[in-house]
Amino acid sequence: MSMSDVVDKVLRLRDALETVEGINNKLNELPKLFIVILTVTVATLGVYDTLWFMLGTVYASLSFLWMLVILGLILFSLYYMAHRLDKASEVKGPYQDWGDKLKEGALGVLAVLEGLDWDYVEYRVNRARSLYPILLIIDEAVWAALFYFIVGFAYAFLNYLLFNITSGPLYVFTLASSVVLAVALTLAVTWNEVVKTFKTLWSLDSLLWEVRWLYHEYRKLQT
Amino acid sequence: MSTGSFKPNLYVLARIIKTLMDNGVMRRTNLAQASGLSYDKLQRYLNWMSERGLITMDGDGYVRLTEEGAKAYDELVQWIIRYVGSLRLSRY
Repeated sequence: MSMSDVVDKVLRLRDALETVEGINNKLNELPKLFIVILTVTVATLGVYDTLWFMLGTVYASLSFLWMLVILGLILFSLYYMAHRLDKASEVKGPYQDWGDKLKEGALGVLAVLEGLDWDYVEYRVNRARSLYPILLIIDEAVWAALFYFIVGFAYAFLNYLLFNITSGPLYVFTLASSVVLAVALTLAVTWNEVVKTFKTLWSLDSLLWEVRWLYHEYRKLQT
Repeated sequence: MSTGSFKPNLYVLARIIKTLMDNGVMRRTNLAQASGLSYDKLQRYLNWMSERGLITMDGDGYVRLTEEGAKAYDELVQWIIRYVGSLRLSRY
C-alpha cells in the first residue's frame, strides 16, 4: 500500500465524518423545526377560531378558502422542513482543512490524527448512529401524511361525486383504505431512501468500531 | 533539563525529523524557521529528542539527526501505512 492509498483512506474518513456531522446537524435542527411548525399551526388555528367567533355562520361560506389555507400550511411545513434539513446537512464541521493538510503526505496524515478530537468524534458517530432512525421515521411520516391527505381527499371527493356518501361503513372503509394506500405509496416513493438509510446505519456502526480501533492504536503509538 | 512530563505532538516531532532529513545538519534557529516552530517550543522538542538519542546537538547550536531519529520517522510512516491504510470505510 502506498502513501497515496493511505491519503485516499483518510479522505474517505473525512467524507464519513462529514456525513456524521450532517446527520447530527439535522438532528439538532428537529426541535427548532417542530417549534416553528407548531407555532404556525397554533397561530392558524387561532385565526380560524377568531374568524369563527367573529363571523359565525357567515364564515362557513369561506370553508373552501379555509381548505386552501390548510393545504398551504401543510405544503409550507413540508417545504420548510425539507429546506432547513437540507441546509443543516450541508454544514460539514471541522474537517474541511484535511484536503490541504493531506497534500503533505505522511506528515499530513499525522497532522490530521493529532488534530482530531477523538472523544468528540466518537460521541458524534455514536449519536448519529443511535438517532439516525428518527430522521427516517419523520421522513416516512411526512410522506405518509402528504399521501394520506391527497388520497383521502380524492376518495372523499369520488365518494361524494359518485355515490353521494359522506358517512357510514363504506365511508369508514375508504378512509381506512386511504391509510393503507398512503403507506404503500410512501414506501414505493421512498424505498431507495429507506435502503440507503439502512446501508448508512450499517456503515456508521462499522465506522464507530474503526474509529475506536484507530484511536486505541494511536494512543499506543503516542506512548 | 529533564523532559519527563513532556508529551510531544507526533506531527511536530515528525516535521522536525523530516526537516533534518531534507536539509542535513542545521542550526537551531534555521531549524525553528524551517519547521515553523517558535524557538522555545523547538528547544523543548530538541531536548526530548536528544534524551532519546534521536538527534545530537553541539555547543555551536547545530542539530544532527541520528540513525535512531531516521528510523523513528520510518517507523511512523510504516505505522501510518499499516494502521491508517487498513481502515475499512464505506464510500459516503
